[in-house]
Amino acid sequence: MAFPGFLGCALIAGGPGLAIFWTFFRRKAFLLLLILACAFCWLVGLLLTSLLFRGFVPLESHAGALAAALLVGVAVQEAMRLWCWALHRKLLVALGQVAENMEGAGRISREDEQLLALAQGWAHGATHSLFFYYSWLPLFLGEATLYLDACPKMSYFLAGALITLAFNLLHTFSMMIAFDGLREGKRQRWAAVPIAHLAAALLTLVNLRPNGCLGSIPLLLLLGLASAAAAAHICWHNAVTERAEASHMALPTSETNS
Amino acid sequence: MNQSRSLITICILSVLQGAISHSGINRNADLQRKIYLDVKNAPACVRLLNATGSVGCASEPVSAPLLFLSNAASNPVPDDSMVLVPEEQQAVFLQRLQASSAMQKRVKGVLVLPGSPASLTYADRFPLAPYAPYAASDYAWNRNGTIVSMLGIGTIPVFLLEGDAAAQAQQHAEENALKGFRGPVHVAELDATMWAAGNASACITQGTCLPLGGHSVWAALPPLPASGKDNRPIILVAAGVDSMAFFHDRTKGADAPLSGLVAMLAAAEALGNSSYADVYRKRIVFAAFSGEPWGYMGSKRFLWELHSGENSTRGLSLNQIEQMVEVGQVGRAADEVGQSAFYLHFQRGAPFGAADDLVEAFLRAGDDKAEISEASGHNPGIPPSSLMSFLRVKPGIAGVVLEEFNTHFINPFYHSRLDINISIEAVTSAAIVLARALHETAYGGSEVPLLKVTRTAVHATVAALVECLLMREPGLGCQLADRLISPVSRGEPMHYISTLPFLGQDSQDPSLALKKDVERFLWNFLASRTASGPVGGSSGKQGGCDFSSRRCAEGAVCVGYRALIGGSAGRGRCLLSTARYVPSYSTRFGCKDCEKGELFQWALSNRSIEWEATTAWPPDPMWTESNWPPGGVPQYRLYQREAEGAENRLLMGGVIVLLLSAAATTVAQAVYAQRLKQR
Repeated sequence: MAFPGFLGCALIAGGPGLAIFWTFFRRKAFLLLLILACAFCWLVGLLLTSLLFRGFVPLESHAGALAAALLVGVAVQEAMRLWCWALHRKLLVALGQVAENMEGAGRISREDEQLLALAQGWAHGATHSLFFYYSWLPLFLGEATLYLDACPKMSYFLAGALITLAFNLLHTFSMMIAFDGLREGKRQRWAAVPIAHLAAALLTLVNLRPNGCLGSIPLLLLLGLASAAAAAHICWHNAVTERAEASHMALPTSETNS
Repeated sequence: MNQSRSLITICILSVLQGAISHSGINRNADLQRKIYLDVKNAPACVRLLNATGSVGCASEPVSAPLLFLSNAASNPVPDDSMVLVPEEQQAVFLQRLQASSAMQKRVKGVLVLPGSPASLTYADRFPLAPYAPYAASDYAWNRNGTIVSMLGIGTIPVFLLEGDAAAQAQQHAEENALKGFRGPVHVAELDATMWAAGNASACITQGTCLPLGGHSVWAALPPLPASGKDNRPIILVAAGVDSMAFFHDRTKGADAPLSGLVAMLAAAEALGNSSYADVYRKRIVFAAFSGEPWGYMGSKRFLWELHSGENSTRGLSLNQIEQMVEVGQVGRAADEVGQSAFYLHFQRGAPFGAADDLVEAFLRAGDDKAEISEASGHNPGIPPSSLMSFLRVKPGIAGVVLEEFNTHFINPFYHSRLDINISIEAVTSAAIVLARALHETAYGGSEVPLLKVTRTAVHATVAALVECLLMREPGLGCQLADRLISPVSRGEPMHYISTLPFLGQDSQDPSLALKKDVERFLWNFLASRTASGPVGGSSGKQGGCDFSSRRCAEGAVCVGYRALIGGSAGRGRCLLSTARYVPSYSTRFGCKDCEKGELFQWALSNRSIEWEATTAWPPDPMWTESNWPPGGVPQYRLYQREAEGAENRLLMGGVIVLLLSAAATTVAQAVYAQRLKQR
């Protein structure tokens, strides 16, 4: 595959992430730093998690073994999400103290909290994409493409791009949903996140069946879009329920810093 | 299917779970292998250049969709095709290709699928007919013969597929056909880049090719005296060392010529072990000639060096060579019960020497395991053999060629990669018959004592030699070789002569860089088996000999020195023996300015022209092999190529996803801002 195909796949997998970044984070230096820090944490987390599997790879290629691996993988990541939540709380406290000490600045708003959660989710999705898709995508800069017997309708890297896109959306918005549920103590909301994650993970096992990718990939994309819709709904709802007297403290931007 | 399942597994887990990132470390390499089936240093038709032009194949990297031809003679071939043909039909297809320039434009390359044809030979019906001492050049010694090996395919690369690559390529070609070559297609990319062009003279001058060549080996029984020469008549016993095939790297040559070589070596051992050698009235000289398939290059060079008095043939003279016995193809002589039938071929009539004595000796040497007969008198003369070279230079030599066939080759795989099967029983019988006949002829007189030859011992020697020279495992890692040499490359030796990059100042220098493993093995084997004994006294180099500081005394040779082992463990023994290397390459090549002390560089030479004209040799073919780029050439890879326009569609899709996402986030931000304002 030559450069146009490579770029096409890169944009399919990362286009929405790029747009989210451009729209919400590009002017906010603090969020950029937070994203970098979170991405680093996820990277370390993923590497450490991989150690768990050192003794088990290569896995047997049947659904049972793969499902067990997926289960463990999802559990570890969801545990990391809880750890992120704890850090998030501490971060809010710290930022609140900074805001208090800053002349003219108010307290941290609900919108800021949501933006911080979105940034952490974005870091999760970006790290996954970088680690598991963009790392091998350059292999397709050569002459060749690859079609698997089980998925002959789309190339291996297009399927990878679409799956990456779906998980990118899921991870990005899941953090907002989970943090909101934890903040509000709404168990069904924060519990939905690991369930959706596990469902998406297990859904990929359908790829093992002939032409299974034609069923799994649309469903995965739907799941990703559903998580985006759920996050939007939460934001929409919170925007009107938040107390009107809360003064908005914008997070420092590159312009305001300068 | 399993492969794709495991790849799906990798895909799922890698995209989803960091937990599998350890397997992801290996994944890129696995994926790379899945995408490209890459084969470097692949067996391919390469470009050879001779005095008149070039043969073989050469091509810059080319790629095209795989097309399987079940009927190579008639299946249509569309434009831009990488043709897969079964080995059985390779010759037919190449001849079809050769005949049609339109087809040559459509075919980008040829991939040969290995098969099990009933016969396969890449030699002419009368191999090397111009060298025959008779005029019947249309006689079909090799009835299945083709001239494929000499076909100039020009710029179309031809590769042999092996193992998984063959199975995958055929499967991919069938998928292409099923899909009507629409959508993503499976292609092959072949790279047979060759640097040389024109003919041998041009490429040697330009330094873009190297001569085909190596070294022949000879040894004398009994060894030559310390004075270097006596006047004993010589019986020359000859066999070839190497063979040829369309894919040179895969040349085997089990029957032609290795069966004869092994029989000769085993006979040398049997005769050397007897106590009669010192009283032989005639000296037996065993000669293993390299390069015979290439215009009898080895024997011709031997005769030229003999004529010009080179060090390599010191102690021999053409006048002394009265008789010659050549051991040709003998490995297929045995029937199901191990009974072998051999035929004696000799050139009848004047001016050729009468071979009656030799023939009689051979006829008497037969036993219940080996039936010896004279070949048909209707044959035009001797079959293709080194004896032709000797009869050209000295017709008076009485020569016989021991073969497994009477009127034509029975080996259906002459000069092909499938010449792999020989019978150890047959070779053993040939060795015993040869030893008995040589013993009787060399001893002379009427009261010849019986040569005690134990069939079991000869059988064991033949089996050991076959193991060393013909088996992939252990090959030259065999016990026999381990006692004689340090092979640079363990495993099966190459049976194609290949190139001779340079020569040493001393043709007898046995350095690893100057002599091939097989040549050193043959030299050491013959030297040890024909030795009259160890050197006594201080000149015997107590503690072993080597080729530098612990050289043997004049008249003795160091046998069994293994340079790569080093130390005292690798040292050899000084034996009273006469064994020599004789360079084997075209007589029209030489060192450019070696006499001036310059670094070795090949150049054209006219030294032998007068001698060749006197002895009416056919024009020297001057065989050379093109140089090619380092790093894996000849090489090929199989992969799948995206359909035309698919990549642009992907790019469009990516841009659309990006624009929609940007629009969605921008709108979402604006709507959300409005919502906040309402609050």
